Amino acid sequence: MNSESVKQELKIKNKKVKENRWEKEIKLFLRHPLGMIGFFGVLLLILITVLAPLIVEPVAGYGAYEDKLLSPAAKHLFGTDDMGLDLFSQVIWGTRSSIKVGVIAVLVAMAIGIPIGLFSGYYQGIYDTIGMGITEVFLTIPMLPLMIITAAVTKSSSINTVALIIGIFSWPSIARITRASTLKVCGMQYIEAAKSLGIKTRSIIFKHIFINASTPIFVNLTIVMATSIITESSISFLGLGDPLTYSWGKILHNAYKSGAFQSAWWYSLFPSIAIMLFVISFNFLSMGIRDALNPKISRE
Amino acid sequence: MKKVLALVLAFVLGISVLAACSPKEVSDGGANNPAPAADKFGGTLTIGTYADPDTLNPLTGNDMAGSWILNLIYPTLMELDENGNKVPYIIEEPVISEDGLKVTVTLKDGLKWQDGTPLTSKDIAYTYKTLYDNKLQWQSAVLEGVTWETPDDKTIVFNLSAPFPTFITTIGFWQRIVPEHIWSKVEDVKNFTNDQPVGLGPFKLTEYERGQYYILESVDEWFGSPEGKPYLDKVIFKPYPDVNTMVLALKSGDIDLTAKEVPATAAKELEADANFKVERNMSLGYEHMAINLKDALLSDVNVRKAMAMAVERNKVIDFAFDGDAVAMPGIVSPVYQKFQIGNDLPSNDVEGAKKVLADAGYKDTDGDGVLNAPNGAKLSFTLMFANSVSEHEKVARILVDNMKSIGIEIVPTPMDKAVQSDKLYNTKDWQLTINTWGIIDDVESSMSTLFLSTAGLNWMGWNNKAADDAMLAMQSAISEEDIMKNMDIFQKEIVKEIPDVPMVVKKLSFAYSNKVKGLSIYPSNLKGLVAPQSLGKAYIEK
Repeated sequence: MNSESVKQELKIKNKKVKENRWEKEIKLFLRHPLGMIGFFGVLLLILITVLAPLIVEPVAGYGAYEDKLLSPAAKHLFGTDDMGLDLFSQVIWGTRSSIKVGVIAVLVAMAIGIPIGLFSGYYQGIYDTIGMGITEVFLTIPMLPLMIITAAVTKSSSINTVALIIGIFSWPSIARITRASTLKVCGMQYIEAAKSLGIKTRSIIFKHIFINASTPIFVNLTIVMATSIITESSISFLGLGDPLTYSWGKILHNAYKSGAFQSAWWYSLFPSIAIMLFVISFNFLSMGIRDALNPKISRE
Repeated sequence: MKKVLALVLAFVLGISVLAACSPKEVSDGGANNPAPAADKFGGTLTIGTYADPDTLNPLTGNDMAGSWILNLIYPTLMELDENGNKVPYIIEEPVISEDGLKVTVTLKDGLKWQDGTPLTSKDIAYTYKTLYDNKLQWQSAVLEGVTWETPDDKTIVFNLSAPFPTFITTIGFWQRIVPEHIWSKVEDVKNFTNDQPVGLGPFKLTEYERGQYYILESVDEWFGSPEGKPYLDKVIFKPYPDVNTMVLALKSGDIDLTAKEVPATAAKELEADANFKVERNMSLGYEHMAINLKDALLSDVNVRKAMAMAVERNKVIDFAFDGDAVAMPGIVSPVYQKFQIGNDLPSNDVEGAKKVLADAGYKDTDGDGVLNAPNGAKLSFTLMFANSVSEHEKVARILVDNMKSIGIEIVPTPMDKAVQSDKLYNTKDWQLTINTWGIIDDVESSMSTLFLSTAGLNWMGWNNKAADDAMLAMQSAISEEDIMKNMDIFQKEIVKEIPDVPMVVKKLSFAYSNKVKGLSIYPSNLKGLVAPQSLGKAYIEK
């Protein structure tokens, strides 16, 4: 058997295994109640994000003086804020900002964390020391003072900037997990086989290692998604977020700073529920995926 | 004498009282239902502040949180009365010679430091000399060109090089006096931490823990108290970095009184509660948007004029201050009615503003909804504000809308207060900023602190010869007529060039538990309910 045909066979086998695996895993996932709750929660959030313009008009600036701090009623389902603006609209459009922050943060974190983890895990030695050294350093940098400094050096504190920063500081956990599962996969025989067959290193790393090491990474990404929203909320709550974009944290910040934190309960309640829903959905989804992909559970 | 700073911002926020506001006893306990005197003595009053003092050194301390505590311990020569007039505190009425060059100050009788040593005029001479020699505080500039002598233990005579009618009300009000017999032994006055202050006031500091509490105990003898000694046994200051948390602490009974003003919405809530009372006064400063005149686009007066015309002050009052503010038509606060002489900045006129910009050649050449200068530059500016000041964030949001209506884009940029100050004072890297002038007292001499081309607080970089001359002239003017004439010149230059857009004067609300009686409200948040005159008479109802 020459090496070409071995490669061919490996490919076909891989594909087959994958098809079977996915089928089994989807079944497992469908039977995971929490996973399904998370799935529908995330689906709902995505739908709201996409359909926001059809649900309610966005608000901006300020409303009418007599509309200040109205409690929930038919006209304003979630009540109004101290600028006389509809809170339902803010929470709905806030979903968009939150998903946007989550997606940007996750993409940035992936772009940095995955290559570092893969190279550290594959090459080991000095590369590992440097890669994990940088990771450790980033883990120890306190986020908040950095945000303050960032606000000083960037021209604007737009929601994209905030998302970017969150991404830049969320990658270490991804890098660590990628490295760990890369180490595990690297020790497998098929990688050795691939190496001895003279397959290009790039191909080995991205095709054979990354694909097979991706389960825990993927689970971790959903967690990064959830924590990025918490982080965004904290930044906004401190008043360092984008003043013109309504995110849930920003609404909470406005509520707290309004001086009516106790009396206008609706002001803080609805964005809090939204944050909770988001974080729980993504956490449940990650639990479902993790359990479905866990080989121990699959074998049962 | 070089220009002087009669205006001051008390670094964090501001002071206040409406000139029109009448003196009043804020507690109803004393007058209607006088309790037997013996019952008034005793008890502890816990006060919420927003921060630890920057230092306990009265010669270098400069923030409001520190002033509240230090003013109870150390005396100044002059005080504010309830109407906002500067009146003698530990001295008799100062005597100013006819040519305005000599000021004679005599101490009140029988005053002693808290260790029993008598207060003498040498203590004042020592304090001022130390201040001047070490170039401490902005007040040291007031002493430029001034000499003084102490003919006896009760008298100090100041000789000025040029008339400066507000000399004693400026330095006398702002500079706390320290005892020479203690401070002359201190090697490095500037960095002295003063952990065991010996002062001359109704209270003395006995114990403190940074970030936790500052315990002050009453003295046995105090001339400002109705029965010769403060009723309260103890006053405790507790820092709450977040004002909303401070309000919650008041509601839960952790504190009895707020030294810092509370947000308008919270004040209304507390007012509706029978357990609390709210007192209001007007800020002696104001909220404003300063403009960096060094910026290429903002150096065009047409842009500044159009922006001033776009501002909707009524919206700022309604939304940012929940109705608790008064619009500023010109550069002098309406608190000082005397100086409201009709030199108002252009009022809100969107169409007019658009025309000003169109006539000056600004057009939206790239069709993005934002005007462009003839050279193509976009009229887009960053507007910075401190993230800790929630009102300013709302002002920023309103300004974004206001400026959009005339084709100018505003990018609101929240930042840490320290970063904002750094940009204003050091890096000069900014375009527009929302700020508060804390306290503007003695308007005729204070304008030079803000707008003189060489003034440290003139971040705008405004340089106008006619205005400079007018500001210096009104500072040393002796006659009312002279002051008003130069004030008019100065204000007209401001209106013509608009280096700064004044917005509103804030009404300040202070809340306290209704078991506290005998309090009086004094001008500004620097004094408010915690002035020594107020706490020297306060008592807890048993």
